[in-house]
Amino acid sequence: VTSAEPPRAATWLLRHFGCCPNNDCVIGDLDEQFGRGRTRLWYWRQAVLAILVSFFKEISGHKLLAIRALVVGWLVKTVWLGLFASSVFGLVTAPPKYSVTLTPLLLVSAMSLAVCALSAWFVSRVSGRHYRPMVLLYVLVELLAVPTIINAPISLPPIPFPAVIVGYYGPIAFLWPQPFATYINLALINLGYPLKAVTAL
Amino acid sequence: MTRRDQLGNFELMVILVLIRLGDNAYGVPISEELEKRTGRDVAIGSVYAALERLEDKGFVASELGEATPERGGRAKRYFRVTARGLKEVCETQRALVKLWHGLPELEGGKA
Repeated sequence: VTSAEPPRAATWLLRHFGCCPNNDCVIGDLDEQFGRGRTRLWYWRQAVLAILVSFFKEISGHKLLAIRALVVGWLVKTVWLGLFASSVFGLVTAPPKYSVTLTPLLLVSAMSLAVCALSAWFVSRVSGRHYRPMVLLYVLVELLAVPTIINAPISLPPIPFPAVIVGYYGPIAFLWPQPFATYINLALINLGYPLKAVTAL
Repeated sequence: MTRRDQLGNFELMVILVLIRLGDNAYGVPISEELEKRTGRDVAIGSVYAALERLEDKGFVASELGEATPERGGRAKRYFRVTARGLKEVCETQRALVKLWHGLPELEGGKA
């Protein structure tokens, strides 16, 4: 099934996440072929493949730049964590043990997003014209740590689920530069959760 | 010549298509010709990745062409094979023919 207009969402994705230096020409080629009767599914497949291929080509072609981008991103977060995070989280009033109130979690989540955006901005600034693949890489590496949280055991009835998850992976969360695990963990420590007791399991 | 300067399998296909197409070699006809000749689906992203690698190696040169309404006002990028690229294709062909020669398993296209 074809329609007059190519899928806008696919074009948007390709325009913003495509890392190929000839990205505009790629979109033009896809539009031209779509106009000749290709399907929307074909367009979507081509757009996704173009993003993936250009991303991996750029990363494999600029390995040192990729490493530098990751280091810069993590440095920004580490500095932020060292300078501001503890004092900010210290302001959060500690509720009774083993209860999670929504406000502090929302607060740390919002701050996590903010520091993620800030570090990603620094990554883009140091990556020059290769900023797209480098920011994409940085964000993907950050998101990759999520399965380590999801796969955590949930067999500790007295402790709320999020506390078990984050607490169990506390040390990893601190070493691994994953925003949510790190900051939620930090918040839970400030809220009075016994990290040692959970990680001892 | 370093390994980086050699032609990969897909790059060789792309450069042969460029020679075949002559002056009209931009993304759409290149991918269409590749699909026609190889009988496989071709991702346009892979074609551009190969073209960029070939350009980095100095085997291909490119220039921006005209923008047309059917392309959403986006310009075409025309590619052509350089003298160095042609020389490399000839050398690759010679090497492949030598390697092919005298292999009974491959004679008659039975392999």
